[in-house]
Amino acid sequence: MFHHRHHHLNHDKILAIVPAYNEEEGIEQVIASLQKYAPYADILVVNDGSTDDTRLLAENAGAAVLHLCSNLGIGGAVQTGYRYAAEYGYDYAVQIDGDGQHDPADLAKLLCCMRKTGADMVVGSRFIEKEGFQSTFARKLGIDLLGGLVTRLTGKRITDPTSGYRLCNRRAIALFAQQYPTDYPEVEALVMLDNCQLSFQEIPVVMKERQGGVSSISPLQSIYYMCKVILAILMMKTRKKKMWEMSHET
Amino acid sequence: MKPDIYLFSFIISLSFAATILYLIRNQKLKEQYALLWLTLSVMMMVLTLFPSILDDVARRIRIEYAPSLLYLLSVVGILFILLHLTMAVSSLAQRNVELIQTLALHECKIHALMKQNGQSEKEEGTEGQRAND
Repeated sequence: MFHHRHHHLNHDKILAIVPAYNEEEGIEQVIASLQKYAPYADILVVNDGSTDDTRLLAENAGAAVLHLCSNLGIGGAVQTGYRYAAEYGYDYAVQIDGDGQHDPADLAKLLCCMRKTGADMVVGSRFIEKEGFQSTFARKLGIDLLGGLVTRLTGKRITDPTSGYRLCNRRAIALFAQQYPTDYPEVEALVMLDNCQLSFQEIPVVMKERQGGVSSISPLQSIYYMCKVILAILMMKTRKKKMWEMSHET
Repeated sequence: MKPDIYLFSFIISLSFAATILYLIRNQKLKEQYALLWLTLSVMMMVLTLFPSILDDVARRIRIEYAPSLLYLLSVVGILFILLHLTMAVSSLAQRNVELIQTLALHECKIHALMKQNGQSEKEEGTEGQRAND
């Protein structure tokens, strides 16, 4: 846990949170490319109750591994990573999918944007420059719908609300460590940030098609998720905006 | 014929209440959830003992067919109990998530401590050897 701690410029501690559920085909490659292209970041794989060798492979590849004893889903897994980041005092935490969709080389871009704009969260969007793997037609339709809704609700333009490639600063880490939606959390997290008066910023990245394994969402499930997410963000919008205080932080 | 049916319903609701008390006694039912069920069974008993209450109330709120008031009340009662259960499940799910996360974080901490411990023991061992040399 305490090994391979490299420090980036300004000695900021950076944690890469890699949620992984049955990703034995791709996890080694993701860790290797993180070690190669973002050597300044500590790698934390959150093994979300995988039934395959994900945990062993990740440990052998030199990552710290949190093992969830049963499957919590992406939100629960990612939140464990944020709780870890908050506990060990990381300055930045970046979410990177365990299936190889996200390119660790883009992390430098995200960091640069965060330092320049002072946003609390920076999201990598594949739809700004429309390069690399886009999405299937139906999925893009859903993403556009959610993006439009979030844009309207928060007043900030969002093109890729479901992107899981996001970098958080201390304030956002502390918020997410305390509350984070359980399933299909990305869209809700944006509205949550806005509700707590934290800012976010999108920058273009290039995503690849997933390297191995299967997507966790079937068509029927995506309809359910659409309804669930829309309900959640509309309800969230009715709550009062409240300044987020990092009260539990020293 | 009529009194028999009322007696029969009374026996049913009585045994229902008895079952609930039995479950509480054996700690198979938490009191917080049992209270709702107990209230329901007491109401059932009262209605079977004094069925005229139902007729009176139905007449007063202008329901012509009294048993339909009974159905309405029971459906509303069951809905509330179901809602209560769903709330309980939601809270349980949330706690379960927190528990699993905390477990994973602690497990990781224990591994790190054990590793540290093992290393310091090893270091002590080599120092001891050096002293011996």
